[in-house]
Amino acid sequence: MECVFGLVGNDYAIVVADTSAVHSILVHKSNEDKIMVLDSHKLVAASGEPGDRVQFTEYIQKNVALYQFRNGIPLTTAAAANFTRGELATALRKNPYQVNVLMAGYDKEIGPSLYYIDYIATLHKVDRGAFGYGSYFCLAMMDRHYHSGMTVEEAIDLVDKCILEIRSRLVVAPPNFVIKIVDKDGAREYAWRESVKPDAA
Amino acid sequence: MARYDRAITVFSPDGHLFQVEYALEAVRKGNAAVGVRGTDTVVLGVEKKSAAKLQDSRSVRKIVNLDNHIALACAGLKADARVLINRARIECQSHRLTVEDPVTVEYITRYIAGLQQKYTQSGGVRPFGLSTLIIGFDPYTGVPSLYQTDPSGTFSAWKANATGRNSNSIREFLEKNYKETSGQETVVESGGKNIEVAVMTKDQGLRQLEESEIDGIVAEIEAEKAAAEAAKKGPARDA
Repeated sequence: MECVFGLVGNDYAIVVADTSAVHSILVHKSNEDKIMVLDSHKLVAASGEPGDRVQFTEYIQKNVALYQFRNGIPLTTAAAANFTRGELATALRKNPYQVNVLMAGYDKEIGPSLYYIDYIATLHKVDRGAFGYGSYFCLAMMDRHYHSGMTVEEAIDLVDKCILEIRSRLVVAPPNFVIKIVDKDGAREYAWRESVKPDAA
Repeated sequence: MARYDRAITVFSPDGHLFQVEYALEAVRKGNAAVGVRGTDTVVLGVEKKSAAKLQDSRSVRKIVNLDNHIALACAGLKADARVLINRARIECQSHRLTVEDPVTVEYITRYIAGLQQKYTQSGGVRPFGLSTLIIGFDPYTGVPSLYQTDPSGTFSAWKANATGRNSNSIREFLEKNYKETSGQETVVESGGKNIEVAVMTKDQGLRQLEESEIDGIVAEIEAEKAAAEAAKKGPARDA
């Protein structure tokens, strides 16, 4: 029931994730942030087994930071994505991580990019991607309305359309979503979309 | 494997660990490193041996970041330093991963010193031939610190210290001139002209000073010194 999706615009990339932490029929919390800021210009939106999700993304984050200290410059988005895929692949036939990742980043010479990395270590560079049951609706919506070089306003409009579809068509739809953006000024939270007031923190 | 059980560092009859003392000798021969702790700044300076004309001096960084809020300079065997620095950087990230907190300066100093000590008590290895000066800010209280470690694995906190060549005379200078509000001037003055300086503040992290900035400070110091000399001579002549 976790929904994660994202798209690339003219000079930014946006990722959206639902914010429900669920165990069986119980919703533990509805303000769980599943989009990690990997470094100043990278975002990782992850879905899947909750323990694996946090452990794996934090592990990637610390290794990306270590690379930067060792080498004096940050990893490119492509390099970070390939590193992530490599870790998933190595663990796959031993102790697999059940985590799907959408990695969005902005590199100075290359611009924005989005990488689709699923739990069995598939890696694709994409314009738009989605994971979970929500993907059935998001991909259809994005296929219909997406075009390359969208402005931020157009993209957020499309994101809202996708969220509306999820809310109206998915049987156990997550009520709240978080939207994060990465562009030349860095990675940051853009907005929340709440239909159920989250717990007092 | 029997060969590797032979310890290299063993006690002498009069209680010395000669290998450790020889390592300290290697440190004494290394380029000087100076550190000064102020109220809200910490400064590191390392003596630069005159750059070979064909060498790209940017690839020889002697003051390194271990984490966003910790930096290190050392005197001694620079190749050994690379190994220690790498392990320390990994430990900084590992600590963040397991306890979700950045390391304190004391923690990482203790870790590095612990590593140096391990190599004085293991089979088939020699001690690291370097002393380190570690600076940083406590991640929560923002208090600046300066620590020193040496090949024996001991460490302690300092207000200002020097290690490497001429460290004794530099330390004397520091003892005479240190004030609680000291900063980069004291480091440059104690160091001399061919020096790499980095300043760390709580908010801006580590900043390497440009050559032009260092030249500027050196000029200021020389002017101050000349003024002090003139003042000394002046009144004497009048009398």
